[in-house]
Amino acid sequence: MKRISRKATRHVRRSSSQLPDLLGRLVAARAPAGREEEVRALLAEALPRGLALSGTPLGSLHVELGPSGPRRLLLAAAMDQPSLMVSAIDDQGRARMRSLGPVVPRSLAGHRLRFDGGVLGVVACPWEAEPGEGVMLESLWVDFGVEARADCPVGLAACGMFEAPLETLGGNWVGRSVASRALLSVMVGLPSKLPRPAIPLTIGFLAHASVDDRGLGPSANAVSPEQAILLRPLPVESATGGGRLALGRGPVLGLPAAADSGSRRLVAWLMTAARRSGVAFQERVLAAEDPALRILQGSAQGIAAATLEIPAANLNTPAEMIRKGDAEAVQELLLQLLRRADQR
Amino acid sequence: MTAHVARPAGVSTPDLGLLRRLTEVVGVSGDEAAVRSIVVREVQDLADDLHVDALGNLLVVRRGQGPRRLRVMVAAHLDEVGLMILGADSDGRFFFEAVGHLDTSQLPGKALWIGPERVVGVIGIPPPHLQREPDSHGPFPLEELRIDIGETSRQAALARVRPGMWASYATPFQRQANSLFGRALDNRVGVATLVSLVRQPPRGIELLAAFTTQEEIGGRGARVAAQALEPDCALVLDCTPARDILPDEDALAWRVNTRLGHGPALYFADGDTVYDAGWANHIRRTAERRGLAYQIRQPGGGGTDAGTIQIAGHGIPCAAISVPARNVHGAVSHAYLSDWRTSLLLVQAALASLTPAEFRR
Repeated sequence: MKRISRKATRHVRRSSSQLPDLLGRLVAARAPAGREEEVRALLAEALPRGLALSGTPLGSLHVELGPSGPRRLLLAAAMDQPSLMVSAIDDQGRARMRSLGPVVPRSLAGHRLRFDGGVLGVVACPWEAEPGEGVMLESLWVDFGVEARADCPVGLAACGMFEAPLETLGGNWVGRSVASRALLSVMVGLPSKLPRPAIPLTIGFLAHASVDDRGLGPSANAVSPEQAILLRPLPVESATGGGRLALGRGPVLGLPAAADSGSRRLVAWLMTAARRSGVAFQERVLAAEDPALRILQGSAQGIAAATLEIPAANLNTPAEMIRKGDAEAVQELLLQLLRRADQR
Repeated sequence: MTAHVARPAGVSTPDLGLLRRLTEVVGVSGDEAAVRSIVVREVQDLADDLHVDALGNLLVVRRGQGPRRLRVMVAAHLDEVGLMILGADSDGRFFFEAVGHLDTSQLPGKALWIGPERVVGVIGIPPPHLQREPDSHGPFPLEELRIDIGETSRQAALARVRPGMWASYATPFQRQANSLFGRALDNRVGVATLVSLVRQPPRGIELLAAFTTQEEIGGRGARVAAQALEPDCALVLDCTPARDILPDEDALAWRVNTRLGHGPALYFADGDTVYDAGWANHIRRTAERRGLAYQIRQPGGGGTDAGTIQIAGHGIPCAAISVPARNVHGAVSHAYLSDWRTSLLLVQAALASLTPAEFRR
């Protein structure tokens, strides 16, 4: 279901001069699942001093704000990002890969990958593949310019990612994992913009989240909130408005189709905040079982959960793209949400 | 309460007698009692604390010495894949289903032990010269296979074997030079390793030994054990497939997973879990420092108890060390004694040198 708010549809313009600087650094940083140190350090550095920081043994980072008391809200987003891990090296020194998180194999062929230690490789695929034929990750290999196994500059379990620095394309940002990095930028900016939220709040930067949301449960157990909003990218069919959901129409609120696809009360709270702030938003009906929401609901003492998604074109490819205004809208919506304690 | 036993020479000598006893009892997922009984007899006089929880996990604590010692859960699953009897036909032969991920193409023609009395049965197939042509080529569908225990009526058969009983391959253990042949080396070899560790634990850690249940059907026992123990970190001991006997086709060479004779396998990622890189690299560095053979298990596919341990509670950093074996989940697995011996040495050394610094974020 697509519905665009008919009230003021202009995006509230806020200064976002800090966003691109941090966003560029986050896009350039590498964070395979379980190896999020670089991104975690950037986030910790960007946070105001004096905040109560904690985390989990898996590497998640939690920031606690606001009053103590019931109805704590967890805002959560993934620090890690899809990557590739070397799974085998053949006699010619070429590497096969497996994915860590959702990877789009057809977008890799011909691209450069950067591995641990800065080692460069190029993704090759068989010539005999017919144009338009589906490309499987199993059919790809990485060429390092060597001819023997002993000369391969990487070993098993080395992690690699394609290179795609942050670029501006009109009103869009393009870059590796730009959607999830934009959400991190928004979240890390919240304590500065709203140092005293009206409700007990924990901002959770999750480790091990890009692989089946594995870091989500441990963070939820550690924070033990009563409610949670999961911020994540949403792939949209079109960058230019041809699909039901599109860039430039605001963040997407997920409507629960069944009990284990979210909390209607939380979604209503988000909608009210959006309307009050004049932030445009889109809606979609979530699948009957959303795995991430199910994890949240079954964690700690039980958590009412909802999603807030930023639309992204070409998700998980080197051409991943979001609309700047959508990221700003997410930020404004969250600020409105957290300023008022009377609707949670 | 017992004092730590002084470490004799050859501290990590594989206990072949124990491995034999462990492999020659049936312990299909959900029915691990026979395996657990053997382990209890081995460790009960050594444990600082021992109990069996509601899922049948055997939890054994050896407290160690020194202040601020790491609480390390070391897990080895007791169970194996197998079959469950569903009922009997009028001619006295039993139909059944698989428990865990079993290679059903290996079933025809195999002998089984059924139930606590180890009733012998055979999954029969016609001799080749009497098979219809399609039968001699493809695998038999599970639902068409039957277990024959030698009875000719349903009534007589059900007097000896009941629906709900578990069954597994009837394979005696054999050692032949460096080769170990037996059923359920996955994971009796891991269990035997953990028993050795309980006998002679590293002093600087608190050893939380978890002999877990129901790993083969989703790591169920391990999650419960991890929630109860709340360790600082976890090490899983398991047995992993070695697919190192290949046809000439080189295209398959990248699906080896592990090889016999190349030492224990260290995990960085499998089908469920991205293991803690710091923990895994600590084990790798330990092996290199000690001159111990090791290999990296090919990332991707399969899983261990770490799949559920890692996400228990607030999250638990996990590592895993496996002994490679051919024909895992089949009637006869094959592992090398040298790989098992090296794994014992590596586990001991890695735990003895483990510090909290490995897990700082």
